[in-house]
Amino acid sequence: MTAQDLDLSYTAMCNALNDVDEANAKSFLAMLSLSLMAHADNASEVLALIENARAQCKAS
Amino acid sequence: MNNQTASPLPSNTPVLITGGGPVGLTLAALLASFGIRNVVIENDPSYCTGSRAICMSRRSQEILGWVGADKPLVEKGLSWVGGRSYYRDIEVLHFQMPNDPTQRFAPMVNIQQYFAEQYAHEAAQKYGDLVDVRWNCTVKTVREVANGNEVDVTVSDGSADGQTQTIRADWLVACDGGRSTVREQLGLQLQGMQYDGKYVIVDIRQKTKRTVERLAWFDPPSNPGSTILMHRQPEDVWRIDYQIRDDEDPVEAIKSENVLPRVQSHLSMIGENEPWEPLWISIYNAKCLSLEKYRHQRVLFAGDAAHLVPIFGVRGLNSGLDDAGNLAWKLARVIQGTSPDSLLDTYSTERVHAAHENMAFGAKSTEFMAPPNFAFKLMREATLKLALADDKVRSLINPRQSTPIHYVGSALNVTDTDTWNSELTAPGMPIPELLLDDGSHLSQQFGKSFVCIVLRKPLDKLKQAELEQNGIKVYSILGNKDAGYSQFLPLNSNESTMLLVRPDGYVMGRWMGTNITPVLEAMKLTGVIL
Repeated sequence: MTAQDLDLSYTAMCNALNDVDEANAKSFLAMLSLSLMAHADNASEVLALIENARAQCKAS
Repeated sequence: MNNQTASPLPSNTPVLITGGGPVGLTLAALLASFGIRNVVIENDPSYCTGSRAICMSRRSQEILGWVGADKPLVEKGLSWVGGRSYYRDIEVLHFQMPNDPTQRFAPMVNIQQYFAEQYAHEAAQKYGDLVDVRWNCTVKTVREVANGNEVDVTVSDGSADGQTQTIRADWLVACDGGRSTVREQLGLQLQGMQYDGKYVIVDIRQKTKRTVERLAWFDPPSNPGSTILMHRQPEDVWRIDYQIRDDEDPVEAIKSENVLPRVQSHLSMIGENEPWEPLWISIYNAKCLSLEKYRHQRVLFAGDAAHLVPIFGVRGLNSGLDDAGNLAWKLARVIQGTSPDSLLDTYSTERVHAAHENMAFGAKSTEFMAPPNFAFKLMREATLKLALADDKVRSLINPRQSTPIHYVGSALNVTDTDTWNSELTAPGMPIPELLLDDGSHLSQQFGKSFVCIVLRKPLDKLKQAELEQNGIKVYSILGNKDAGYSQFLPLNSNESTMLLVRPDGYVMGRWMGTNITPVLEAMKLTGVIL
């Protein structure tokens, strides 16, 4: 994932999230997370990202 | 500022430039450098107040260099060494500007706009009578006439106070800013969108020992929920931009009693404790707006009169100076009769394309700096929190700074017939900088005429003379130690090569060998000459 690709994906995701509306945001983010997990190469990479997100969420 | 305002305005001029801001004054100097007489009329009595556009890109420094205005700007300005972004009070991004020692100019220099205006004006004055700058002159009406325009101007200074005078101009260039009177007179409207998020802009004077960096704070403890940007400027000036809440009244927001406590709170938080005083306060919201075309018969638009881009990424003035750099040589050739006036259509297509690219980048920066809805806000918060421990997401925080735009598909590009080491020297690209073995830089060769850069083997004298008779200067580089040299060469070949470069430093075409026929044909094929 290049910085340019990440930028493109970020904007597309923000626009999609806004499109489904705030009421459906949790559902959208859960579905997208599941899709990205399912398309990842293996579980170890995903588990590390889950732990990092959990740690940063709890720290803030 | 200028006692010329007392004398009557000239009744005729080849070029009338409305707007004596940095774009108008730079264009005046550039046109004069080609021998084109021009008149500049400016509403205000002098240079602008407040710092306004403060970041000058490497490309802008190059353009100012074509008329010698780079030297004072570089001496006065402060070069960026990098940037830091903070989420609350924790650093989440630190970037360093790629200040390659082989480059002629720093990637970005901070300087108040009024200094840029002064240096461009002083450069214009070196051309004597070719440039006539008139302050306190307001455009009232614009009328199209045969082969030109008549412009009614009200003079509000000296003995001519209140008088209306008419100037007939063969060509009118509107550099009169975001509220362009010329645009209004022609019944034209900018098209695009505006963002709701508003930023207060404050200049203060305060001594500091900090290095020159772009500083950004998201949700800082000093101003919870806000975003704050800080830039150092010459003469102990800080430029501070901060976002106000959506429910705040913009008129109230710029009152001193509301601005100064927020500034003080932030200065205290970051440990800047020297005494300070406010100098200038303004307010801003991001806009992505452009005219559809920048040429309307004999009226041309440049800078903010043609397009408004978000400040994030510093594309406003920098793209305006690129407009001036693109337009000057084309308009000069048309006036001198060496090119057909259709060459000016390429000014419009190239710079409208550049504006759209700049707006696309600017929109992305704005969506991060002033999130337009809950989704961008939520994702920004996620980015900032994750950035503490995941460097993969940090690039999203980095502002996309102004860079010269590739003129993809321009009528002035000659399609490659050979294969090359790099796309950075492809037709339509701004030619990369190169440190030459004598210590000078390749960019010093541009700004005046077409240049044929000959690499590896020199052209024989007859061919060189033929190119020069056709207005193409020949510049030979027979070898070079700079690692960037290979970008100029063909792939897997030891052949000598030629690159045809426009006066504004953009590549038109590149060829292997020493046959100059395709170089000469390129001038006709692209419509530069008939």
